[in-house]
Amino acid sequence: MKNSLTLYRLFLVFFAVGILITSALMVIPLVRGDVSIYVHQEDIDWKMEEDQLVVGTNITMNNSANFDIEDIELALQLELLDDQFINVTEELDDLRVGEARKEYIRFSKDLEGISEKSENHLINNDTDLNLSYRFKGQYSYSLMTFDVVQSDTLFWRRLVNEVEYDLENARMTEGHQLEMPIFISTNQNDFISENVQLLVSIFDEEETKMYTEDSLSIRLGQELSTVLVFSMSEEDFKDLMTESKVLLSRTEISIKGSGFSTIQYESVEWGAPMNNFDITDAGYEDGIVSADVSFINDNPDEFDFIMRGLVYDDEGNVIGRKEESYIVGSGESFEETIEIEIEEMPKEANLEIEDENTGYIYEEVIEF
Amino acid sequence: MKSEKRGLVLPSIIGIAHFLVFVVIAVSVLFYVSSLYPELKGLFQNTYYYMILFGTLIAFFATTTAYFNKGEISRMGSGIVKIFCLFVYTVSVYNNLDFTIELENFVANVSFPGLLDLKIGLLVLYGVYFVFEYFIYNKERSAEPDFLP
Repeated sequence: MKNSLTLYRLFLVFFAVGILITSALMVIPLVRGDVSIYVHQEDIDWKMEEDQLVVGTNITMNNSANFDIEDIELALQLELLDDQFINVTEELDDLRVGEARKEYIRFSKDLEGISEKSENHLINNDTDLNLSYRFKGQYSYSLMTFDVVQSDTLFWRRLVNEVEYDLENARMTEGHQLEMPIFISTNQNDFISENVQLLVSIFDEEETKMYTEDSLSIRLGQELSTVLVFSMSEEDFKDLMTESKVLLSRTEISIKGSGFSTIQYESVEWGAPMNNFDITDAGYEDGIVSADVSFINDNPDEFDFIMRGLVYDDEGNVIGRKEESYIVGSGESFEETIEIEIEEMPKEANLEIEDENTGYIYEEVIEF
Repeated sequence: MKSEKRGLVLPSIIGIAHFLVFVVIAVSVLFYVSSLYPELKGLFQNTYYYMILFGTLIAFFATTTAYFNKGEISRMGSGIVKIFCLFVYTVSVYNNLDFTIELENFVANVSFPGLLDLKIGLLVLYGVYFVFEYFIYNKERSAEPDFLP
């Protein structure tokens, strides 16, 4: 029994010596820097593919120590506005003893996880993105574990400098169209090279009815002055010709193919060229068909038009006609009585206002 | 049962050897490492106290363990208390070795859970040794006849 006890004690001594040797084999290579994992920050590449944000970078790993490094995880975090913008983790293959390798790591993240607030901020503001990458790993049998976090700041340059609508020079044109000059200025960004798309929609004040929309595309780093052309139905066009109102401009700014977008709203005071259009005292008396026509030109441009009166008999023949040109300055009222002499009994009359600029004809029928 | 004690020389040598290993040499190594890597100096502050306190206790109980004869309950008790002190010493040293290095843009946590497990395993086996030793020698001593004058 005493011999067994001696052997047991000998075993304990060997066990203790083994632990000491293991400790030395573990710690000395660490102190000598024989284990290294390095992220090549200069290689960080950030782009958007379809509905995903893809971040890629090269990392170099070296294990000249005495144990395999297992369960290696590389996590990448991007923080913006105190929110965790992106948090992705990639598991890497074990690093065997004596192995050195360089590999390209690719992270992807669904853009759905990015808040609207962050998207809006990235599109419209210069900002700092806090980047941190974290390595976790361990020697075999968890003899040693390590968790290294390195952080850095990436400067993000806003994508869009300004979008400016020239509302004063918006005008109605032929084919029931509204033309509005627009200026857009964008920045080059280190991480994104796709086009910026603008989709501008015109709504009523409550955003319940959409009148029309148009879009444009511009490369990042460019400036563009152009004219948006909004086509609309005849009914909507007539509505805008005769009624001044507050319109809502809704601009969706998006990065092509990325789903990365933000929406801006702007109220527009629309001045109709024929605001409060009215026909009063229309009638026939003593061989004369007459009507009082009035409106106010709220548009910033003068309103150049032809007012035309046509009187018809029972069989639809034109029995009287009068045509006259007018120019009404911006902000001026128009009040005029149109009188047409006829020799027969009229059935109805057509009053037409033809816009000289757009060719649009506003038409009212007067029954007798 | 025999009640004669060992002399004081051997227990004293064993106690001094323990003190040298667990206090003097261990603290010196830590000082040396601290001087090599000044950024770790603050991390080892508490470790010095634990090493000196529990290293001294380990040396004391190593002395008492060596003083008592094998098969005596005092030796087993003293041995187990020494193991307990070794356990606290080991855990405190390893806990302080689970260090964090913080630089401006860099934080590293390193810990040694597997190594600590091995060390605790060793201590448990060492504790079991004293129990076995007590029962084996106690049985043998009980079998020996007492000589009366």
